[in-house]
Amino acid sequence: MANVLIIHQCLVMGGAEKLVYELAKFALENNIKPTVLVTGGYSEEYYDGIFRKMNVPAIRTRLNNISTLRHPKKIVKAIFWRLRLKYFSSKFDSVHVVGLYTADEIKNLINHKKKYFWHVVNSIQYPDRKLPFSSELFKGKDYTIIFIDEYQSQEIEEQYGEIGSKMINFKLFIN
Amino acid sequence: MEFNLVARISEDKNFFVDLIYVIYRVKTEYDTVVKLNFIGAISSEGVYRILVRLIDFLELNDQVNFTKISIRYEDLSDEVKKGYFINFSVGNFIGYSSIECMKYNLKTIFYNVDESYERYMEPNRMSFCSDRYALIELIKAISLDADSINDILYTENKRLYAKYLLSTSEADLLKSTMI
Repeated sequence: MANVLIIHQCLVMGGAEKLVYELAKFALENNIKPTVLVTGGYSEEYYDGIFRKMNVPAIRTRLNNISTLRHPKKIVKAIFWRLRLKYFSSKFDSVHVVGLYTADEIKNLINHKKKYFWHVVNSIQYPDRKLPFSSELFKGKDYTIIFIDEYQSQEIEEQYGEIGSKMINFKLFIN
Repeated sequence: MEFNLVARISEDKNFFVDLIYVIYRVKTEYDTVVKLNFIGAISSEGVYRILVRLIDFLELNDQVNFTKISIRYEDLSDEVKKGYFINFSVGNFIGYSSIECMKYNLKTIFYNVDESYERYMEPNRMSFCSDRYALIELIKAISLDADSINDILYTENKRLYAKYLLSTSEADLLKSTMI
């Protein structure tokens, strides 16, 4: 059975989180085992309970700033996931990161040949239409950026210049 | 006439003022009272406070309400579900909240928040308002003949919703990114 790792920063009741849910649901329906990794906090949120009912592991850990953690169990878990993504990520057949903010933060921590980063916002949501990502994010050759609308690639090229990464378009969907 | 907006009150969706402006205009110019219900948690206290002050200044207190918590569509009261649901769009693009809204057969209206994409918007769709003036026009039309407009909205919503189901080739593509 194939395994997909889906990474996002939180599981509140929101649009990007709904995409995490639909990806996990799609995986299950296609005989692929999803694992969800949440990197932005330890408190339980809306989709945690839903994933429990679906038998989808939703694991909360931190991948950056591990040194500021105090709880030994959290430190061990964070170190485990850092090592796993760097050296043992082949347990997963693919890694999907939802949201370029998270992708930007952890792009160098994941060593995997099949990585997809979902872009889920538009420029208009930011002051002066300036997206908050690093320009290196759009130069990387070893991952694919997924656009969910017809304007996103143009917005990025206006701000950062030509995109060097692989790109595909994929619409939002419901199972 | 009751309008709802399902969204967190947050800075990245700061187009709430547009709707307050619209209900103010239709009240003063066309004598049409539209109630506006903001359904969603307050993520930005700053944005919320500005809205409250604006509502107060325009004397729209009786018309505007905030739930201050996020509520799932399926948990909304039948009374609320009878109203119209405004969703922010970026040109033709709509997000998951909008797709959910149509799934529950709610009367779904889209309001474009990025005027630079107005020129790319598909024409002749009543459910898509390219700017605040189009939304004012739609409210006027509803006040004149709600039944006909509702029929058109339902038809357009239904057709649009179907586009978010995956075709076999799309499902195959998505699957190939996972395995």
